[in-house]
Amino acid sequence: MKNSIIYLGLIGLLLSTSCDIIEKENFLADTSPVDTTSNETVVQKALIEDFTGHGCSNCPQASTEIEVLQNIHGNKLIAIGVHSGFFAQPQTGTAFTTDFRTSYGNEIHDFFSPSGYPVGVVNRRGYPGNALLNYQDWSAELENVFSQTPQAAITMNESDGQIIVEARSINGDLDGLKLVVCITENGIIDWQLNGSDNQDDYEHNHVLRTHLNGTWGDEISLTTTNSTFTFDYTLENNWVKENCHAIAYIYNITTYEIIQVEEIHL
Amino acid sequence: MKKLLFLLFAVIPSHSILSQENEGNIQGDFYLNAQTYNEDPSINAQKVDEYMLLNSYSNIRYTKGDFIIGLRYEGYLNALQDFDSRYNDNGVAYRFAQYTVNGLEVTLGNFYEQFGNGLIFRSYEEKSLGIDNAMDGIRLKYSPLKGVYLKGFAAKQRFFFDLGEGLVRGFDTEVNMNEAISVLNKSKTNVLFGGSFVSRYQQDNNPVYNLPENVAAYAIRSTINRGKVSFNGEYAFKYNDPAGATSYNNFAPGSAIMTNLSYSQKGLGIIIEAHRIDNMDFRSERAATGKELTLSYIPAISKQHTYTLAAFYPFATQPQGELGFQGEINYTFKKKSTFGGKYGTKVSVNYSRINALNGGPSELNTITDHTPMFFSIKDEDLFFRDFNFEIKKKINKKFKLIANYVDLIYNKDVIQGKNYGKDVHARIGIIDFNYKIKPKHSLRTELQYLAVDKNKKYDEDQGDWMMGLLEYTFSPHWFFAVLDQYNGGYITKDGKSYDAVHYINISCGYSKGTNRFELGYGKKREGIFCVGGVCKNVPSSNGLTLTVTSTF
Repeated sequence: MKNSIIYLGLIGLLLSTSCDIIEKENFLADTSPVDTTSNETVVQKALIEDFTGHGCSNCPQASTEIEVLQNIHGNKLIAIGVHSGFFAQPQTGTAFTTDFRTSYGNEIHDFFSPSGYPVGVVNRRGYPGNALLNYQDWSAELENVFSQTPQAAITMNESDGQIIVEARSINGDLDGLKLVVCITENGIIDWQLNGSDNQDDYEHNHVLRTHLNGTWGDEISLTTTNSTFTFDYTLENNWVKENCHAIAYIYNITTYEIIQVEEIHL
Repeated sequence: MKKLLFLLFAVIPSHSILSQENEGNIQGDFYLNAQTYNEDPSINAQKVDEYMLLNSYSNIRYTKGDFIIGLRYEGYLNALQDFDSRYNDNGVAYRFAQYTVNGLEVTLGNFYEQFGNGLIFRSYEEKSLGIDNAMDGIRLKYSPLKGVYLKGFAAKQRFFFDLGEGLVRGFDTEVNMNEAISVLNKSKTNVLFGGSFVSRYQQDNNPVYNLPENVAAYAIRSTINRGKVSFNGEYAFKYNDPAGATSYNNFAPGSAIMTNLSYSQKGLGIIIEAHRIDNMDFRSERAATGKELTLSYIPAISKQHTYTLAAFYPFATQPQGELGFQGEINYTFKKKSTFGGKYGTKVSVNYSRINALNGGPSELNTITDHTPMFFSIKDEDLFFRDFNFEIKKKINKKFKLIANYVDLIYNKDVIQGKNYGKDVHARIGIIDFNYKIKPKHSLRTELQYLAVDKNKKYDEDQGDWMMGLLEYTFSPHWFFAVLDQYNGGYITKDGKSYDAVHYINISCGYSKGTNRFELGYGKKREGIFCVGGVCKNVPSSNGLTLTVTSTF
């Protein structure tokens, strides 16, 4: 019995030291700028698909998180705001009448079935059980993505209403892949529920506007030599071209994980 | 996992050993709930690709003396529509071995545990809500001295069919003074003290903030009983527990205090309770939300209504911050008194009120440093207010009556995370008749009406509801029920118009021995279902349901 008391006492002592208290002056870490100008010719990039909606009070926090993460990771991080689900529904009789939803975004929403907003997927990793991540988890997941050796490379160009995507594998042949090309728009000023405030001049960024080859894209195979894929696109009248980007991503058909992603300004 | 399973069954004695004298004991249970989903635009019900969904599980437990092993097989094939699709899997989700030797209880594998009222630690399962935050690790329980009870564990927590990232360590001590100190053995006052400590470890890889990798919480509690009076109180404190984003973090500590004072004598019960919760959402992963990976549990401080329309607007406890009070008086008018009549009359009156903390929960970061006032009611954002009373009366040998009235105010924006800007004020009246036709045959009827306040300061939500239920029980084997909930139609804020609709549901059940079968068909309305202040959203549906339960 004596030994057991000592043993349990030791557990208690061990637990009592199991706490880190961070003082206010140390909240921020000593950060050195992250090197985003890698010498490697191909870097692994990441895509955050942020499920959001203008009626979601906490979604602006997730958008701010994307901004901070893009400041840290530069062009290695690409984002799409997927306006979908209950919180993205237009509300008649209120100021929230703009419908940012798309059929493509709705399909992606239904596929991942987020139950609470804000939430997102990072390169769609962890599907089916662990793909949906709260925005506080995105940073850690990005570290996992960026530590991967890239399997594929994508380059993009735009010319005369066409998006030209060139893609290749890094080592050997790759198949069982799909390529998706979509368009997003930044700088849309519209209403957003922000905390408890209805904000009329909220800036919506990375808003998914359309897909150029369907929600789930076209099946492709890659070799170490570039393959070229061309897509015609037309912007709707209310989209501002200067604020639009085209995004191309390649994902594994079986795991749904995005293995590479690229973005260009239109 | 496969190795563990093999070990588990390897130690279950074969049938030949079971047939010997010290054969031990095997117990178990089985539960299945299956439903088909038809498309029904009148109630916005969606069909599912699988046509039918089902949840099932079975517990099997073998006990021999002080040794127990058990497992639970769960099959979500696929999970019912009101459950998280991340449950879509099947397998052994819970397994454990436990033995007790010389007073030391050792548990290996999965376990559920609660320290005190659960303010810093409650691991539990509530299948109807889709909650199962079982621990997976080791747990010790020991009583080194008479009246002194120790518990300790180190474990990870269940996350659907996986484990969360955080490592949780906990220790609890409870001292029953009357048992521990001999001179108090015969005291009329019973005093119990407890203290607990829980710590979570999770790596910090945040590039912007220094996050605490070890986050701790402690709680102290006491229960004192003397005669008809009982007091229970607990105070909990959680150290800095930022959620881990790179854009914003709240480093404020959290705290919770709850008190409960009750008086009880024959025919009279009085309960007064209060709690104040500030930034007390403690989880085994710092960024977890929803119902997943919860360590802390805040007991509900409003009446948990069971009648359908009384439970239409249930309050979900707000662990981020709330100040709540509740009082309840239960009184029985004696037989042969003016109000008691021949059989006596039971009356219950309950009032609860929950509001926001002054200026919101505690917040501490590089810019903001806010600590709410300890006590503030006036001008604070009201979350929930409920006044209700119930009368239970046996009229004669065959006829029983229960009448209920509920008057509540419900802050839909806070509780449902929506943007309506107005509270809902609802009044609900319920009458429940139970008529015993003859021995073994009884008929029960519920009539319920929910009226929303049409005053412009309130949100009318879905308007008024009516409900009727007729239930015929032919014990011990059969029951039949017909239920209709009627809504007169309404227009939602997003412009969708819903016509008047009857949600008719018929069901019948058959029990034989320890097996029970229930079959139902009809429409179910969308709503919020809560147990103990924890809630889930249930979508509307139209289909056939089958429930099977069995124990052995």
